[in-house]
Amino acid sequence: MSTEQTRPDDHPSQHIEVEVLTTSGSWPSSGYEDVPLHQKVRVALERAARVLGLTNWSGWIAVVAGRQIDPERSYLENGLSGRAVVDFGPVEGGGGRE
Amino acid sequence: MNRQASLALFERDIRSLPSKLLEARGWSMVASEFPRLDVAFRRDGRIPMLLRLNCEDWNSRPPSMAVLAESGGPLTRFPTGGGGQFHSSAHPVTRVPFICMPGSLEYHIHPSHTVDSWDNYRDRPGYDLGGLVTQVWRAWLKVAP
Repeated sequence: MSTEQTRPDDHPSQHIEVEVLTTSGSWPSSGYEDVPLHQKVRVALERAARVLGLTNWSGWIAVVAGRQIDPERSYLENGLSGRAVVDFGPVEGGGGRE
Repeated sequence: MNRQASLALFERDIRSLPSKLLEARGWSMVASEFPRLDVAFRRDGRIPMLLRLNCEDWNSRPPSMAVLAESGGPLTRFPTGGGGQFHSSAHPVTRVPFICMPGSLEYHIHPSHTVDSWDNYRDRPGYDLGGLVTQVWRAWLKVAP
C-alpha cells in the first residue's frame, strides 16, 4: 500500500485518487476513483461495499500504507494526498488465554 | 453440501482475491487446488508462515487450519502472544496446536466453543475464505516475530 504525491506542491489538488482493495474484489474495478480530499473516507468504503456486495462490514478496518486510518475523517484529516490504496477488511476475531 | 457446490464456492472466493492485495499484504498463494488452500505470509522482520486450509465441505463446515513453516514442514516455534488466536497447547480433539478463532474448524469443535456454531458466521462478510485468511494474517502480525 502506498501514498504518492502526484501533484506539484505549488498547485495542490483538492482531489485524491482512491482504490479500495478487499478480499472480495477491488473498487473501482480498474484504475482509481478521483474523490474530494475533504470527503470522508467512509463514502468510498460504502461505495466499494455496495459494488462488491458487502452487506455488513461493521468492525472492518481501513489501512493505507500500513497505517490504520479513520473512515469518519476525510483523506486530508487522515494525512493522505495524491493517491491512496485502501486495504479494507475484517479484524481478527477470537483469541484468548490458552 | 455436495462437493461440486463446495468447489464452486471455493473457486469463487479464490477468484475474487485481487492480485494487488496479495502483493501489498505479502501473501503468496502457494496452493489453491480444492480442498486445499495454502497461503504464505511474508513481512520484513518476521519469520514467514504458511497457513494451510482444508476446505472440505466448504462452506457448510469451516476450514480446518494448520500453521506451518513456509516450506510446508512443521514450525520450529509456534506463534505466541498477540491476541491469543494461536494456541500452542494441544487441541483436545486434534491433539495438535491450533488457531482459536471463529471460522476455524478447530475453534468450533473445541469443547469450550461448541455452543458458538459456525452458522452464526458463515454468511457474514469477513468469513469467506479471503476474510478468514485476512483474520489469521492480522493475528500473525501481532504475535512475536
